[in-house]
Amino acid sequence: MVSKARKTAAQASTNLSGRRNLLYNGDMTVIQRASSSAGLGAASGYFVQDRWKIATSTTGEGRFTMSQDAETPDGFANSMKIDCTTAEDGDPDADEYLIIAQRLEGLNLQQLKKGTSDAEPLTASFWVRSPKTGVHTVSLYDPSNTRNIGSTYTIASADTWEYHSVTFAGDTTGAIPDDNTEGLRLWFWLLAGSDRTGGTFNTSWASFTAANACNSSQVNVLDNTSNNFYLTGCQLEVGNSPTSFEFEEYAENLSRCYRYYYNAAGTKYAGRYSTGYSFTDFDFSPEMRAAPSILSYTAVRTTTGLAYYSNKKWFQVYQGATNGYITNALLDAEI
Amino acid sequence: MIDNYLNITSAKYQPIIEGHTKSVAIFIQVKGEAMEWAVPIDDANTHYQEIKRQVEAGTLTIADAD
Repeated sequence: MVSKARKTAAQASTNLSGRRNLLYNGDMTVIQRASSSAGLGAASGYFVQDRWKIATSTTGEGRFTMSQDAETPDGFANSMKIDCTTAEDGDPDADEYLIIAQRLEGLNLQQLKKGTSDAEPLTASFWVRSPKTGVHTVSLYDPSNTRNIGSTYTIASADTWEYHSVTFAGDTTGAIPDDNTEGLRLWFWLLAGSDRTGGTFNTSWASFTAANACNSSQVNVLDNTSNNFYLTGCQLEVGNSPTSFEFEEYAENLSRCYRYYYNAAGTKYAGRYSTGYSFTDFDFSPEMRAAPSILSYTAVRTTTGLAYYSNKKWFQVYQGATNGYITNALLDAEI
Repeated sequence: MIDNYLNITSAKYQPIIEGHTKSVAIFIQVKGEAMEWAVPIDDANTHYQEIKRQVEAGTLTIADAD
């Protein structure tokens, strides 16, 4: 007979119940921003797949188009495609890097027991099709405690789908705050210069030092304009070994992504507030991670008096018109 | 690693709206963006965090509301 404590511990370590995948949109299905975005590489940001961020230096020459693509391994319908349109000349300069990242909220990571003697290991698994054979880096970064750990996978055949997984030890140092701030980043490195490869690669948790962040053998995925890099089926889970990808219904995936970004497609009409003034209300269920910014809209009744009020639960547009409206508002509460 | 950097070319407090006693958002113009963003004054909002970082660094000033 297994004691309750031992049974609980076994379930925790083998991850048999509940949501296994800590990541969002791992199958690259939800694309509220765009299906494709060209000319990327000069700035960091969210461009295509929800929750997946491009992090880059501002100095690199490499440019690419990021898109959702139907090129996939069996069982998946979508992938992220990085299509090199301007090559990164030669070896990347010292300060250059390109990362596909996902940032996770601390309140969703308390089961990792990070910063305790019982800290849990994490395993990242994914399908990748790279134009480059050789070493690619995957790593975790804890921004609250400025600590990181890295690992590598090796592509055996260029332009071929391969399934890989890497396991990171639990970190007994540095608790993750139990709140809506950033608790952990997952990084897929596509290129890096010597500022991030020149030290001793951290394969154990340690204080973050840029030079130790990426493996020195990291390939340059943007070294040729014929290069296309694909990624899908991404999963990050507690435990020492990967399990099968945890598919979600589209509506569930989309609903979870709404916590971070909301494309209010269409025209929303206002309610009259007083003579000559109105409020258009957007209510969020579930609530957003933080009060969102409004990044753009395509039309409003009037810009006279146009102002906004938001919190995690709603967003209000104030206009100097009794019959106000706003069209295609984009609301952002990403990390 | 700082990769929440925004190239903010101007910032201005939003006018006080009905039902409030102070400005609750900041209008910013980000280089390369066609429209102004409106960023709520909320410490958990990453755009506001970046505005605060640049103000504290002395590289950004927020103008008074119109």
